[in-house]
Amino acid sequence: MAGTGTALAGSSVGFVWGFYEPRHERWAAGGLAAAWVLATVWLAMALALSRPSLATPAVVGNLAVWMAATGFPWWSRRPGWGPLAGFAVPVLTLVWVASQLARPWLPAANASPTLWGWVNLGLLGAAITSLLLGAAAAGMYLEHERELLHKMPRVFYYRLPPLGDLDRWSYRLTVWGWASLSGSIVTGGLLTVPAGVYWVQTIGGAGMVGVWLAYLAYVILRARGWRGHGSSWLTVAAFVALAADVVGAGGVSHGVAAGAWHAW
Amino acid sequence: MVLGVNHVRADVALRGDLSLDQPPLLTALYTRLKREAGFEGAVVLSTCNRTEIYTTEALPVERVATLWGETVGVLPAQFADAAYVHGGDGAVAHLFQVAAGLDAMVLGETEILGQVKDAYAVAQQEHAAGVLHRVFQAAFKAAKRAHAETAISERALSLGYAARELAIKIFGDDLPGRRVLVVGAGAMAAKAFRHLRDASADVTVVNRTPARADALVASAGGRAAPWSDLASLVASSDVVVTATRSPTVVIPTKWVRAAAPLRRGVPWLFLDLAVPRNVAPGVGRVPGVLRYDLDDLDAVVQKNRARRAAEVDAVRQILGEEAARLAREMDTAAVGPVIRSLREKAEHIRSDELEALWRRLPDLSPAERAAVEQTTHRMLTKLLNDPMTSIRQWASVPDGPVYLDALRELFRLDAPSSQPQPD
Repeated sequence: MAGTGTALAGSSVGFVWGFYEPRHERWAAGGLAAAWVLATVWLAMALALSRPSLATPAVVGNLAVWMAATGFPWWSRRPGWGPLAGFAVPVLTLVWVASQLARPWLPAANASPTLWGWVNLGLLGAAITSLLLGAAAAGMYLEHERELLHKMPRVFYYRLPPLGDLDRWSYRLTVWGWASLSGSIVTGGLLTVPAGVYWVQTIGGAGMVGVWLAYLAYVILRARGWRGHGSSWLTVAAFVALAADVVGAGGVSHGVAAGAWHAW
Repeated sequence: MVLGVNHVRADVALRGDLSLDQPPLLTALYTRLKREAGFEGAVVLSTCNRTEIYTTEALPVERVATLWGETVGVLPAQFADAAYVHGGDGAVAHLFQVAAGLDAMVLGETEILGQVKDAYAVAQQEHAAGVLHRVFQAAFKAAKRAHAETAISERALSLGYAARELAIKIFGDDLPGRRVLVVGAGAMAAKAFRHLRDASADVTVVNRTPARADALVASAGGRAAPWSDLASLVASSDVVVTATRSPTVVIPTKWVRAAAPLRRGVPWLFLDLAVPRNVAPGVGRVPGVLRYDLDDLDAVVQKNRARRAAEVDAVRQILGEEAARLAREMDTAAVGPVIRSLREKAEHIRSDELEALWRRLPDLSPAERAAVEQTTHRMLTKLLNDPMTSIRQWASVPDGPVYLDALRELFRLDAPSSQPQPD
């Protein structure tokens, strides 16, 4: 665990430093690769030993690290998208740290997963990863726009993709994440019913409803032609709410995926 | 060796007099050079900013200058002060810098690389490139690396191109589908118009004198619209470029403020290239609006220039690496024939001695002959192994050529093999 945290922290520093000295991105990428290896080992051990219980924020945190790092070789090589890591990896690191410190959502009772349970968990990890990258793209948009508005070409002016591309990718990633989140809620809910637990009964579950509605509002506004500055802020704010709910109130487990854990 | 003049040391008139960009002149010079004793290869590069003759040091520089002067009708003494000469590694380094755009009038420009390639292609057509082939291929590779691995050729250095770059910075891949309005039809408006048309934007031109707008769109596509439609065109455009001579504001803030909510967050770019300004200063304070005037664009260009200049050291490092690689390759190429000759000579002696042996011992069985052949082959391989390793190492030591000469002399490698002596 300490190794993953160290690798992620080093990678975060390297990628942020990479804004100004791109050569540092190489060792930052090495740190992310190390985090990927450690997260893979950790998840494999969790799966094999079921200890700690799969029903913990730590699993979701490591799953998010694994997914983001797995996609890194693809998205970081897209022209102009190298700096995305400087926005996404520090946030990912914070989410991961918070997930390791958060209390388990449920007692570690049943740890033998069903197929539906894995579908539920996979959708959740995909949702968090996609929404994280969408929020990072929105953050990039806001920083790039700030430099353009102040007419001070600095590092983001030169290194980030055009505003239009950032806006479009932020939207796509957020929509993918929102769809995955919806799927996770549905599968979690389906698995909850037989166990007699209803996810809206918890604070986290209610918070997750709010987050999901915020993303729904975003999708509707985008469909009506809303773009740019306000749209980016909403994406960032919604992700902050999601992260707070996941690691703070245990919304994912109690609200979305609780059924999965119970059913397991 | 390179002999040349460029924009730094020669004025436009002298560069014009010495220019070799006319094919007949070029052919004439190549013909003269090829007739020279000791000619090993030449490439002539002639652009508006430079004329350079690359050849080998086998030709005296004075002779090359004379041939050049005779070809263009200028006495060598008339350009002796403006000309420069580089030899050996200096000439290679100069060629690499020229190809990479470090020696160009606009730092990092990529056009020069194409011109160097064209010059080399012409030399090949004239069957004149000769031994310079490897050097020029290395220069192309070095320049490609410099452009790909550094930002030396990135970012606009002219106002017109900076305007286009700014529009792309905002709309990216969407620019071809965006509406661009150019207000004015003068020289600055025409530059911006062409740059934006090159980016496939949907451009409309509005001018107080419609005929000039019509003439502008006739030259590069797009469409013209009447001045009376200006307010509605501004409201429906994503990029507005103004470059009129109007002494007063052409686009007031109220137009922009009224239309801004309809854009629903999509950025709105105003590029005011006019003096005095055509776009009201208040436009820049409307949310979602980016307003750049000439000073702002010039600041961007200056930043771009500084960023290119900051890449020079990185480019020099790449060029140095490629020059060192070229030197190693050329040294290795010099060692190769010696190794081949030595091995051939040894193998020749072995096969001759075996032939003699088979004659002396005709009763040997095929298996015994094979054993003898294998044994002598192994002996030869073991015997030559250490010398071959040393010879390869000589490729990278300063005295390597001296050792190679000594080796050639010692084993008489350039002489034909001695005939086997019958017993």
